Amino acid sequence: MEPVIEVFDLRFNYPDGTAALQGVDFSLHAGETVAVFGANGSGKTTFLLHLVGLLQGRGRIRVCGTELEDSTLSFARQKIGVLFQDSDDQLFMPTVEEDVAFGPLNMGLPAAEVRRRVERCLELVGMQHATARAPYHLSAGEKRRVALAGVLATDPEIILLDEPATFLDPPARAQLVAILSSLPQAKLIVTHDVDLARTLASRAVFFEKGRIAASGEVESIVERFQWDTSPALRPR
Amino acid sequence: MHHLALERWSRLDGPLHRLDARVKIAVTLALLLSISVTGPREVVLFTTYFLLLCAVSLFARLPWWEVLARGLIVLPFVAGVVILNLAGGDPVRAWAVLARGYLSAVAVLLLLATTPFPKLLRGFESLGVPRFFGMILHFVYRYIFVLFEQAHNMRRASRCRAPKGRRRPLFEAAAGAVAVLFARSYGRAERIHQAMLARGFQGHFELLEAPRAGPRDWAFLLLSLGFLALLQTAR
Repeated sequence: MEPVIEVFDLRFNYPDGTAALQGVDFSLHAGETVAVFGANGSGKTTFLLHLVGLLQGRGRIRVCGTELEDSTLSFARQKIGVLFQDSDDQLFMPTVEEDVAFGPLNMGLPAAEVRRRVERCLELVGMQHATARAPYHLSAGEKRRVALAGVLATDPEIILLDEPATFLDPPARAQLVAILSSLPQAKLIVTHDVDLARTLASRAVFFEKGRIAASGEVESIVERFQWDTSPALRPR
Repeated sequence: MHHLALERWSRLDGPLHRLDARVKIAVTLALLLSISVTGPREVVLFTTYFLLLCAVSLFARLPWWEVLARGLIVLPFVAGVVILNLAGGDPVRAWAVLARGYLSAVAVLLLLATTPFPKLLRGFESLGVPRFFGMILHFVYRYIFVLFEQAHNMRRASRCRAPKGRRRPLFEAAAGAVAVLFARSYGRAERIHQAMLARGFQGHFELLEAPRAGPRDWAFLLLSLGFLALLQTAR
């Protein structure tokens, strides 16, 4: 089966000359969950932003068989949902209901269908009671779940998640992991949370200085790059 | 900032809260107009407006004394004009400026206290205010809490490192903090725009539901405008 995302020799420099991506090749298959590890500044988020055309470098990207270009951005953004690291950046509408409805309304769906999706997605993340609430009244965990509902409301085939467990307390993190593990979409998760990656991902890639230095099973990547430092932090 | 009194009051469920925002906006504008054309010596009319606003506060199930107290926020803004009139030997006009300013402030506060801000913006849009302008106001309102929280955190951090009794370094730190806050706000604005684009934003905001006024709303509008017209003609 054809991958849902294919990336060929992706290169990108920021305006100040920083070489953020230096020839990235990558593929993601339907239903697969891949964890993206790497040090801060290694190009992980930059890579993610390229997949929905928010940044445009050199190289080729194919989404669900279609080449990513200016004329196909709309198609790609319907196929891919992005959960950003800071939920406050993503929840910009006055109420939860309006925020979750934002994506489907931009797709041109009729009001009845939009409401149906809003209800379904808020129920999926356990926030169906919060439709009339203002996003800034929600806790960090609630914001993350509502942001996820807003992403799911467009029925994407692929979900990109940028450090989804950041700012979450353990119970909120556990709730989020439970929700994510139930989703059938292909997922690409940028994370420093090794346990989260072990729970959700079947494969991992390791970014190093703008390149994918290795790809393989989560445990082998973690061991090779000694990425799980939690045993060293435990009291003796 | 998350628990501003007006924010809390606007989310209560009272008879005024359930009215259409456009109707409340129209009545408030009519009231502001009535107050502004009231002559300086028409004490009875000013008193009537004051009692009317008290009654509306009670009807809206708001803490009326708090609403009236918050109306005093207008005092610093009219103080200059009041003082000028007093200095010019016209205490009657000074009193009229004070009365008009205060009553107008209470009227606007009642509008804000009975209408959630997003619905208020929708109401203004429906009445012809450009949607783009409304969305700018919405974003300011949405993110001002975030901005104040960041500013508060930065101030707290700087005070932990600021030596006591030296004003100049504190002032310089504040100036630097303002610049950093601006840069952070700019960065956040970019990220918000990216999030909007990622969800298919095409440059204009679609509405899930257009506001609808019912018989109760129209009745309130007609009664209110009629009452205000009666007050003016009975002068």
